[in-house]
Amino acid sequence: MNTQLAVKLTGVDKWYGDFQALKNINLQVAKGETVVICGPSGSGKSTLIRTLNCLEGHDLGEICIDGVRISDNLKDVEKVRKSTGMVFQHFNLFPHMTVLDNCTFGLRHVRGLGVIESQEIARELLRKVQIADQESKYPGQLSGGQQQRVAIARALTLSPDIMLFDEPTSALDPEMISEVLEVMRDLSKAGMTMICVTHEMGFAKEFADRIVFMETGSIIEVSTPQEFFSAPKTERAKLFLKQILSH
Amino acid sequence: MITQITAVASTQAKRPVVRKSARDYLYIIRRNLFNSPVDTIVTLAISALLITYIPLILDWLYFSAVFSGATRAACNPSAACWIPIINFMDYYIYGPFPIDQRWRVDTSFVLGLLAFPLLFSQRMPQKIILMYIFLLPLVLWALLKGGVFLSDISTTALGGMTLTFFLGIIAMCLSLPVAIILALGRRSRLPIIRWVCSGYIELVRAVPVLTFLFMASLMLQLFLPGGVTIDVLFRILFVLVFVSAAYKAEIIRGAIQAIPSGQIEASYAMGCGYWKTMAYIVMPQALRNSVPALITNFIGLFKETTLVMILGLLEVMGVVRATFENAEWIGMHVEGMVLVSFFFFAICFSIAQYGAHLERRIKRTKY
Ligand SMILES: Nc1ncnc2c1ncn2[C@@H]1O[C@H](COP(=O)(O)OP(=O)(O)OP(=O)(O)O)[C@@H](O)[C@H]1O
Ligand SMILES: [Mg+2]
Repeated sequence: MNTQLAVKLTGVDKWYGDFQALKNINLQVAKGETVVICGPSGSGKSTLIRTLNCLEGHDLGEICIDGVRISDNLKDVEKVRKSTGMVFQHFNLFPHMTVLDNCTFGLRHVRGLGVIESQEIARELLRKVQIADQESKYPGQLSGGQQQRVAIARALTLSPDIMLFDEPTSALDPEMISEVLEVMRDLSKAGMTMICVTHEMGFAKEFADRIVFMETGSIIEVSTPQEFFSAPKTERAKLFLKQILSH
Repeated sequence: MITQITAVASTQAKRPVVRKSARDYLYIIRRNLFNSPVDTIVTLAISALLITYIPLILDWLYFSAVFSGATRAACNPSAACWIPIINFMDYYIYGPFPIDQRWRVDTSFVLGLLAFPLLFSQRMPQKIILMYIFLLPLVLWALLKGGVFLSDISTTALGGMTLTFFLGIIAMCLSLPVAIILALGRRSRLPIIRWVCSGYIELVRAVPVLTFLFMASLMLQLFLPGGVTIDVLFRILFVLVFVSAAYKAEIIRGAIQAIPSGQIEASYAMGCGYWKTMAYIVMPQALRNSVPALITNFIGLFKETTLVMILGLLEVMGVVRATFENAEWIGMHVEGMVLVSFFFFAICFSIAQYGAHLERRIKRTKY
């Protein structure tokens, strides 16, 4: 595995007013690695992943994405956002654009490519997520699973180095989860650097290189899937696993 | 069974074609108009009213009305007298505009009306439509007021439908962009911008338009260095644009707030900046959702142009009233007001139809 670092957090703190959402977060993710973040609700998983592409700012510590240190400088923010792709729990597709337009949007308005060229790239990616035949539909006409696959394709259009997933399957009906996980598996196999907040323990077991367990704003355990599922180091993780697996 | 179904035989099931027979129509009429004793009474009463009054109105307007003649003596006292209206029609349309320059008015009418098919067309690229709408006020100003390529026309020479049209179109075209800027400003992250925009909107909404019009005509002059004057027309337009923009800004702000923040985040996450996100993600949706309210506002604005009469400008209502102060035709206001109503109805109804068309088109994309 490539040992270069894609993401490096050192001593990151974040407050929402008087509430500390992240406490002294230290984490390094190598290029090509798939890291799964899990933990109970309200533990700061979304907050953490959103600081990585500056959707949330952080108060203390240092975050480096692909060697770019995140600061208030707008140029850096732009650079970081271009090198990361994000997939949200609720898809967040643009409802007034067709599937194809959703996918060409970034290429045209961020990359500045022409219509034809963007459509070529977008179609290629839509084919990859097996949804090419729906390109002229609007998001409202698709099922949840299809929408999430479009959202993944859209995030991939800008050829990001790092993909961030925030509970990509938790708004989906059970039968649609697998089609989205399928796409994520392919990405992981293809060597994409991925940071996923997810409660899909099956995916974590099989594809995560490391599992990060969070509680009340801190990372309290980082281990390989084998360790994490067979012998969690902390009581809290044991309890969490018991709850989630008994489900 | 009230409908006959013409089945289509084919291997694949097709949607059956449903035809209505005469009996179905009778049934529909009975169901909708004579369903209960109360329904029957209401239907009969309204029919009776219509049957008595429509002929009377038509008779007054047309059948007994007088269309030709030279003096008041030719008129029928119990019906409309269209003689002055017909005689003064040119004046109503062009106002005191110099006769040899009337082609300028005609051209601007054509350009203004051309906006309609353009707005209705589905094929025309949006960029061209937007360009047209933004250039229209400038072109109209250059045509009707002159000063750049054409000879200057004094403001007192603008009147009648020409003036109403001029004020209405320019105010409508310019108030929307101003409103968008105000709406965005009110949601800005920079406190100064937010305060200025909020303060502005609150102030303007809380003071009657008429007050601003008076202030524009009287007070502005006090603050300008001596000798500098701004044409009263410009000042009036300024007031119309900036007052109606405040109302539109609130309509648009409401629609912006209704857009899920997740979409904005998704756009930012792709590296799209604030302005592009607003232009391509937020505004298209916000404007679509505020079409009904905006159309109402546009109609109101167009009718508000009659207020400039107070400042001595003779827009359509003013010129019509002026003719009936003429000794020969004094006191024949009703016919004049019928004409004015018809003029405003034709334009405002067209605007409303455009709104309905937009809503249908938006529904068809059913996102
Ligand atoms: N904008 C905000 N303002 C104030 N507090 C917030 C804000 N966003 C999140 N929080 C708080 O920060 C904490 C962490 O939230 P976060 O959304 O990161 O949790 P999470 O681990 O993603 O939970 P879940 O599994 O439910 O999504 C929570 O206690 C939440 O109440
Ligand atoms: Mg979350």
